Order: sequence, then structure tokens, then C-alpha cells
Amino acid sequence: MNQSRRGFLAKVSGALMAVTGARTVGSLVAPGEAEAYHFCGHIYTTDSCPHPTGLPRIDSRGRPLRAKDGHRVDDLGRLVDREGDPIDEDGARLTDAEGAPLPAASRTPVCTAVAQQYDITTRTDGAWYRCCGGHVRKLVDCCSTSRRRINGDRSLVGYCYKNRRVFCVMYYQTKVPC
Amino acid sequence: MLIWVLAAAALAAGVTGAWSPCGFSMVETLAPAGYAGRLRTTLVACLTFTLGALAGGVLTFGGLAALGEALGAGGTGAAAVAAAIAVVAAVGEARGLRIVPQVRRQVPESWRRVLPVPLAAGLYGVLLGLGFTTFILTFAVWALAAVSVALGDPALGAVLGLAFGAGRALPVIALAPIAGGDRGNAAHAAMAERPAILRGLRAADAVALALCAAVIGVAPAQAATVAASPASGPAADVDRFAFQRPGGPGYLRRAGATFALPGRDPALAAGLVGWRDGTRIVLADPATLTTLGTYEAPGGGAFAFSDQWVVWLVGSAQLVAQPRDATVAPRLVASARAGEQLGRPALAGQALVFHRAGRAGSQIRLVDLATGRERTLRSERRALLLNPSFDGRELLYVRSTFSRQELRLGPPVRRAPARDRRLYGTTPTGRRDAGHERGHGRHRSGYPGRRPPPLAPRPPAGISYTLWSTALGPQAAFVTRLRHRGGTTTTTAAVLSVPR
Repeated sequence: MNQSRRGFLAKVSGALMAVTGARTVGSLVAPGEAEAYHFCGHIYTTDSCPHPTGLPRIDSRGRPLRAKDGHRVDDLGRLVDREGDPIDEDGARLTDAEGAPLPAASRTPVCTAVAQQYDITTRTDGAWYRCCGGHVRKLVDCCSTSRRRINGDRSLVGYCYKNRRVFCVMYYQTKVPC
Repeated sequence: MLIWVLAAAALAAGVTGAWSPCGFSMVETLAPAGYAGRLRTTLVACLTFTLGALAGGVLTFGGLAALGEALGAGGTGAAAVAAAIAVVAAVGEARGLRIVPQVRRQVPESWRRVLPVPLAAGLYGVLLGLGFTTFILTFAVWALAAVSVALGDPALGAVLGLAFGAGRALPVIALAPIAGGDRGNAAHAAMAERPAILRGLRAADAVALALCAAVIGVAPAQAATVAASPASGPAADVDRFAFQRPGGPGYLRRAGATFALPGRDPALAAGLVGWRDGTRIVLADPATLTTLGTYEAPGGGAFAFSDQWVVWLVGSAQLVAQPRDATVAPRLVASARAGEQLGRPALAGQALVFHRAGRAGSQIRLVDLATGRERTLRSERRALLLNPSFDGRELLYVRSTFSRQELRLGPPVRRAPARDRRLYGTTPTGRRDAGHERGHGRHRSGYPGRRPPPLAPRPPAGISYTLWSTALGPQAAFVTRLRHRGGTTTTTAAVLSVPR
């Protein structure tokens, strides 16, 4: 009886450990293809940084890219070429009705634009990598010492360093398959 | 705002049309117990009917708006005319007056017998969506047609047509599948035997039309109308308006008549008209076009003149000025830095105003041509401030950001653009995405009440609009709207008029 009770308890505890372990593993694995919130990989409640075309995709220098294809965009949300001149979907320069090229605009790093817009000091701090759309994605925090975040409520520590907190989030899509 | 109010009025007008002989007939025709024969056919027929109604609506109202644009509809009085028409129609609706003029026609009955029901339904949908092919149940149909022509905006007309088509389709597709059943019979009886419902709908039409009148008439700042199309490079004076036909000559409009000028890039000032004839700038009497002065101005760019100076753009990199009396040789007054463009000049007396725009930002600058002193009037990071016009008292310019393009008006002193009055606003040139990836939703977590801030409006897919050159008249402001469609190399242009 004792043996059978011990055996039963052992099975129960083993099952509990298995469930707990599975949950732990699940919590580790789930964010790898995280579907939480508004873009893949983002599992916290802080909203995106303001971005000229919406989703906060950036290049390696923090400047804005169009999310759907990684094309460069300027601060007005226009597609731009390597020189920063505005172009159409086919790569031709945007012109006025007489064919004269339209002027270029600035292309500000997204986290720097946040500092200008909200009159705070910002800095791109830490990051975390997840697998999204078959490629490794770097989740990047735009951090500040502000106690408020872009949502308007209290900010979280997130990946930020040195007493800075997350003001808003961005991402950098690598070409590394996963 | 205007687009939503007009769409609501069109939707209400379409729904009211269900009380017409054709509206009733459609329910019976598409019902499973009718010609459709079974529910599946009814549902397919409802779909084709809806598509037809939407297409018909776009054809009528989009077409009327395109006609208005082609006729040069708009101008400063167009918004007032449109508002007045809406008021008259609203009064008629509120009082439940008999509809005049009436269209005493019906759709062909034989189609439902000789054609497959889904095909017949689609064709019936087109005819009902067209609006004027069958009985008209509300003055709103006439009023919205007139408003479409008066405002002369094809995109607005298309939206209006879609809303009207949706309104015509809604009652039919809601009632046809249940026609013959208890609920269907009850609904049919209510429609047929309770005039209060139709009166209520006409009252709703009246409210919607009154709202249209209020938005168009009381808030004309948002009701830009087409002053000329195709056209760019506007110029305005006390009682004259000029523009450039892309690829063609300049045109002058005065006392309602428009005629071609013997040159390009027209300008108006100091009671004179000017144009560019090759490398020469010609100033002339606007009544007789008799030449009163010429200036050798190589470089081919836009120019401006006042009673004291002539200034012209060389390429997009230099501005050159010369006194009107030509006693002094032309001199360089501004030049662009690397990666920067200078904009079209504007002149009042000896004050020259223009934009500097480039990757480092943009500014609106003022140069005193007598002293050579240059100063900044407007500057903003992450925005383009473009193509100012200046009448000596106020400054008009385009402000473009990723969320909005605006026409702003303010004094010629240094201050933030946000303090200037916004005369007109439209979608940005760039098109944003939905703000979330496929399979995800809008971010709501963390926001009070889970309500994030509203998203900026965006242009239609594949089309970009850019607000460009401006002109400032005594009653109205003018701005060129460039339209570029993806997959083409052509940029078309129209000059919009906005009441000051």
C-alpha cells in the first residue's frame, strides 16, 4: 500500500513537474514566433515609436524603413533612393507637372525623432532577438528617463540600461533565416 | 469631415430609394420564393446586385465630379453654391415635398425572366445605382449630383457613389433572403403600410443634407475646389488668376474668360501680367498683352515680380534679382547648398520669399532685396515647408509631414508653423500601413480605456498626392495638387482653390 501510494505520489509529482517544465519551456519557446500584440516578436504593452509609415521598422542605423519590403522612407513617408531623393514604387524620381524633381526631405533616426517630438532625451539601448517571418528580428527599445511612456502611462524597464525606461519600441529585421 | 458627411447623406439617399417601385420589385425578384427559386441563388444574386449598385453609383457621381473638374468647376463660389443646394434640398426633405423633377421610369421587367437571375440582378443593381434611371424618392439624389459637379473632385465623387450604391443595395439584400417568411412579410408590410418609416428616412436625409451644407458652407477651409485642371504654377492678383498648363502655355483668367498667353510660367503683380518667353521674362498689360518690359533671364525657372524688382530661379539652385528699371545688372541673391533646392520665388515690394528644402530640413526665408539681409520666417524639423506666396501682409505655404499636408497662412514674422492658420488639409504624400502586421491587431494595451490615438488619414493605394506651388488672392488661396499614379511616369496636376 505504502509502495503503491509512493508510486502514485511519484507519478503525480512527476506529472506536475512535467507540466511545470512544459510551461517553462513553452514560455521560453513561445516568444520565438510570438504573435502577441501588434507585430511579431513584441510581447510587452509599450506601443510603437511614431514612424513615417506606421510599423516601426528601422535599418541598422535606426532610420525608418517601410515595413512591408524594407524600402527606405524619408520623414514624410515617401520612398527614397540611396541619395535620399523621393521616388515612386518603380524607382523613378517624383517630379512636379513639368518634370522638375521634388525636393528631398530629412530622414531622421526614429528614436531621435521621438526625442524631438516629445521633447525628451532618448537613446537606443538594449535589444532582444526573436524569430519572425522566417528571419531573425531584433526588437529594439527607444529608451528615456521619462517615467511616462508613449501610451501615456508608467514606463517599464524593458531592455533599457542605467535607470532608463522604455518609451516606445522598434524593430530591425535581419536577413538571417531561422 | 466633408467626405464622411457626404457619404452619410448618400447612404441615406440610397436607402430611401428602397421605397421606389423598383426597390420593392427587387426584393420580390431576388427572393428565394421568387425568380431566384432557392436561397443559394438569392445570395449570389444579392452579391451581384450589390456590385452592380456600387458600380452604378461610382459611374454617376464619380462621372459628374469628373465632369465638374473638366469644366473647371470649383472656384471660390463653388462651395457656397454646393452648400446652398444642400440647404434647399434639406428643406424640401424636411417638409416631405413631392419630388420634382421626377424620373418616371422603371428597370426592364423582362430581364428577370430571360436572363439568369444573378446576371439580371447585377444589371438591375447598375441601373438602381445610377440613381437617375428610375423613380427618385428623395431630393438628396439631385442635391448630391449637383454637389458632385460643383466640388469637381472625382475621388470625392467616387466615395459618394459607393455610399449611394451601398445604400441602394442594403435594404434589398437585407430583405430578399427572408422575403416570404414571417419576418420578411412583416418587414414588407411595414414598408408598404407605415408611411412614417419613409417620412423618418426623408427626415434623416434632411438632417444629413443640412450637415453637408454646414460642413461645406460653415467650414469652407476643408472644402477645396478645383480652380483649373490640368494646371500648375498658380498666380493671383486682385481680380485675375493665371496658371500654367503642364507642357503648354500659361493661361490668364479674368472676368470669367480664360485665354492662352504667348509664353510659360505666368505671374501677376502690380497690375501687370508676366510670362517667360525662352530666356526672356516679359511683363505686359493684362488687358491688351502689350509688352511693357523685358528682362534677359537665362535658367528657365519660375519668376516673380513686383513694382520694384524681378526675381527668377535658375534651375533649382539659384535666385537672381534685378530692379524693374534695369539700372543695375542682375545679381545673385540666394544659392542652394549641397543636396538642397530653392523654391519658386514670391515678391512683395522689395521682400523676396522662397523655400530652402533638402535632407537637412526645410525653411521659408525672406530676403530684403534693398539691404541683402536674409532671415528665416519658418523652420521645422522632419517637415517640408514649401513654395510660399506673399502679398506683403500674409504668408501662404505648404506644410508637409508624414501624417498630413496642409496649406497654412500667417504673418511674415518668425514663428512656429503650428501657430499659423490651417486653410486646407489633405492626406500625406506617403502611404502608411495598418500599424500592425498580418494576423495581429492594433496595439491597444496600456492605453487608457484601450483606446490608442487615431491613425492619420492615408491616400488611396498606388496614388500619391503632393501639394506644391501656391498663390494668394484677395478672396482665395490656391495650391497645385500633383497626382502621381504608380506604374506610370506621368504626374498630373490641378490647381485647387480654398477660401481665405
